[in-house]
Amino acid sequence: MTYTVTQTSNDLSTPLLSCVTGRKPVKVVLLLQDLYYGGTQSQTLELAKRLDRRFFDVEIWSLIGGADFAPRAKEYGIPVTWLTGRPKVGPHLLAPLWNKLGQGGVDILLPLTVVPNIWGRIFGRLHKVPVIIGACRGGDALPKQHERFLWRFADHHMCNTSELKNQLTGRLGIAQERITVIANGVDTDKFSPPAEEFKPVRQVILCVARFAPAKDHETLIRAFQIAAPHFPGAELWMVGEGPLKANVSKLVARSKQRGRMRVYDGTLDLIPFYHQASILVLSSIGRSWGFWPATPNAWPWARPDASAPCANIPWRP
Amino acid sequence: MGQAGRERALREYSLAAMMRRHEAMFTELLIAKGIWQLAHS
Repeated sequence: MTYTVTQTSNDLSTPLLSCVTGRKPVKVVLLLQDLYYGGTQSQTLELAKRLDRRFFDVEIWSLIGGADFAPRAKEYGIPVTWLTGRPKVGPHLLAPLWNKLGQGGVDILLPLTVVPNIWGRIFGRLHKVPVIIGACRGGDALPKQHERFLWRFADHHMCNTSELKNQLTGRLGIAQERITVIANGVDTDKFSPPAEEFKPVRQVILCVARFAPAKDHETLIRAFQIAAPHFPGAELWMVGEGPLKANVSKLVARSKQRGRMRVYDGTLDLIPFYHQASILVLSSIGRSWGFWPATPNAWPWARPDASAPCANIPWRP
Repeated sequence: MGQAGRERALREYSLAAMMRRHEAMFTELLIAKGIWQLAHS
């Protein structure tokens, strides 16, 4: 049995689908490792919120516990299933994932982040999920999720930068047409220039990023220590959560510039931070690591940005 | 950001654009797999 699509279009100004007849909405599962604060999690929620419910029945599955974004998922009306409740990944997540996929009914499986891309693809293929899309987000994704071996388990790939697509085609020989580049999206309604009374009154350099090795906060702190004497009013604010947060806090506490550096907890509402920022900065190690999630949010403010060398900056505001 | 930059941001890097590209990708894959079929095919 087939189902009829009367119109498709990639033109963003026209409806993608005018009608699909003959079946219930396609079930799309967005498989995440967790719902801790993070750019991928944020983008996944925004995608799930916006997919047309007439055609797509969207669910989020989370391999482990972590519910930072749970309030937002609830607000958006997105069903979330936590396959396990433990705070960290481990072999304990395999049986629940295998069983859940074994229940069937999934039409499109889109695993996001490393661990889902490994086990979601393997188990999804074994359970004959019709469409599996491998996602590569971040410069370390390819080796970490064993793309060299596992790319064949995906029907298609999705990257958030053209640099990653080049790596997939160049290094692994995946055909161009099997890869779609979809840049992270900016909420251009929410992220708009602040009212006059909220314009920044300080000289804040803002870094919104997970405290993870790929984000390299250590280099950022060293750079700030070099620059700080030349800019006496400058402050460095770092916002987020992650495994290296305690280490970064220690580095700050030991610094001579500790009075001018702050570490903030991750939050669902980042707008007050952006309103106070004069410069946004990411010191990510790789060429495209972590650049997109924060920097596009700066565009409405048209702040200058500083970033580690990045091959995927198509233009500057 | 000037008007041209804002328009480009909306076109290329807005959440709406991100969502539409996902929908287009899903649609093409569903058609390729024979789950959906174009009316004229």
